[in-house]
Amino acid sequence: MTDLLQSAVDTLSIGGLFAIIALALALLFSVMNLMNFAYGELIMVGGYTMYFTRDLPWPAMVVATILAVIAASVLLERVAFRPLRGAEPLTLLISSFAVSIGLQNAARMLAGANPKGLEPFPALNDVIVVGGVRILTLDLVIIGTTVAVLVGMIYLLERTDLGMMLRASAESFDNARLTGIPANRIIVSAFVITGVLAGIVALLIVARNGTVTPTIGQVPLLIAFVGAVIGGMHSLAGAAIGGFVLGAATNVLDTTLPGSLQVYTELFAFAGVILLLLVRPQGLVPARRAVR
Amino acid sequence: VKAPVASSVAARPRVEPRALAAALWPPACLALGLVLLAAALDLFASDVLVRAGTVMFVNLTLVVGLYVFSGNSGVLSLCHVGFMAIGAYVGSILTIRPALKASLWTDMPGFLSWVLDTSVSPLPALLIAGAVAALVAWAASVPLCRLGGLQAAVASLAVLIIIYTFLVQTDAVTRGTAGVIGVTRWTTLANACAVACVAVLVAYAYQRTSSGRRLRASREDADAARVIGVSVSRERRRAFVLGAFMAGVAGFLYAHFLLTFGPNAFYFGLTFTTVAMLVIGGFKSLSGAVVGVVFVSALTELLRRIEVEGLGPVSALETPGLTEVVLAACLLAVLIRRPDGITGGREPTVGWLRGRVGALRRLAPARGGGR
Repeated sequence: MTDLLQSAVDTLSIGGLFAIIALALALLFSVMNLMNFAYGELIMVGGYTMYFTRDLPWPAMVVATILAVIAASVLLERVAFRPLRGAEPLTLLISSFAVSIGLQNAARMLAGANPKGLEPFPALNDVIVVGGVRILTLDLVIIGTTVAVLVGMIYLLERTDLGMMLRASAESFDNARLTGIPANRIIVSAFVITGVLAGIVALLIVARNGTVTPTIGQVPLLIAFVGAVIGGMHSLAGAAIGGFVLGAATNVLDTTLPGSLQVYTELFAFAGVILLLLVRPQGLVPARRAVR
Repeated sequence: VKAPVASSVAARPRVEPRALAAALWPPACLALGLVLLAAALDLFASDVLVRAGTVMFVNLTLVVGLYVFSGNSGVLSLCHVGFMAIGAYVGSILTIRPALKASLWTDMPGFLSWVLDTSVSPLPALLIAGAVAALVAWAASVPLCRLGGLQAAVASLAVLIIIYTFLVQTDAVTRGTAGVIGVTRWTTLANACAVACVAVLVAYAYQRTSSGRRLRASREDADAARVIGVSVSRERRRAFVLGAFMAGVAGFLYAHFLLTFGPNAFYFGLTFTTVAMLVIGGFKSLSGAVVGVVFVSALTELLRRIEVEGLGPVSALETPGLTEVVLAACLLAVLIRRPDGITGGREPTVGWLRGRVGALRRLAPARGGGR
């Protein structure tokens, strides 16, 4: 029973991280048809910023990390995505693939291929015991942050003017422009928001792993990406749920499948994705608008 | 109702000497250029350059395979490198000496143990490698070729990850991350060039068949193609399987060049390089694929030298990565500035053909012209 609770906490924290990434991917996809492969590299930028500011007090490190990722996100929009606005989604996908590989290798050149170890928040490695269950403080912080981020995103999207403009653009970008919503501002703000989310994810993932590598963002991106596709790229909530479920499911499968099958977890997950794309190309949670 | 409509679309052009010459000109141009390039490398280049040239021809076979599907259908495939991996593994398991095989594969499952006793000479092994890759591609094409656009790209990415996971995790058959060692050298500059030229000729022949034309029609407008009776998914599957065969052959070549390889040789890195080659050259024409491979290979070799030796004020780099960074920048620049790539989707005939068509038009304005 206590084992079960411990792994439940673990599963929740992992699922939450993937939910945040999937939400960000879906936001970018809805607003500008961008399937952003380079999003994992924003997490990497955050990770290296943490590494280089590891001697500062932690609030300074958190602020520096989030600012650096926002800057990187906006810069990418300006350099790689704005010139391609309105291009085929496939062109944007190839473009973000190029940015992803370019940034990974730039990091390899500048910081080396070896993992950089750091312990950003030593205080979070304490274990607290609740009713016989040993829980890592870090896991609680991750779950708390995830909930806060998701609630914050719901508030932002549902209750603010910016959120309303974002949702309108996500539903139909052209119609939104016709009603006078400033396109550039909306797209840049989508990149700022997803940048903040990437910064938060970077802080949490690096705190969890304790290392930064040039490819730190690759696996989380792939899993969250698949989760978002499963949930539905046009539905922000669907994507977040998809990311959560897939992240949690891979964690559960890793711990419950017999050893011989465990190694094939990803194989089954991706085979499932292909099937789902065939049966429900719009994802499990369809968009609320009419589909082309 | 469907069949006659489809066959009228695919009406075979009358074979006239001039048309035949027009048809043979582009592939002859490309193949001749490749052979001359190989000859020049063989005569004048250092060993390092000859190796780079050999890799270029291996990549060319792969990219032509990718072009056969993606170029003709307009649907991006990210999994041809996975088929290449299958060709590499199948090919080397067949050609490694049986004595060595027994010591390398100690846990081979019973139903595959016959592989350890057989020894196949390179050329049949090359064809089998391609055929197995094509067979896997045929199975994968059932779901993949029903999808289009972004979803097809995502699903093909899933196929790549599935193949990679299988190769890494099935130690008994693939030796997992330990990789395959002891492959015999077969891929010389001449062999690689010959295979690449055959691939170019086959790809060109394919795109001029009625099936290839139907697929290219569906690339321009899938709905319109369906309306005139083209089964888009069937044509896509044919090209997908043919392209995978070439990718499998390229895998065989690569394995018999590297001699030691693991699954990581066939993952995102190579996928990125091949997509970059195809897009930079121009994915809508075969000459785009060829030009892209030659251009990117030359650029890569130059950058690798800078990485190793430094250039002027730039000192030698401790860790590699410059090549990929510059390649990524090139790809971005092409996507933004010249989305149809260096060749702009043209075959080498165009200047020549245009002259012909122009001359015809001047003679008989009413007849018009065009391809």
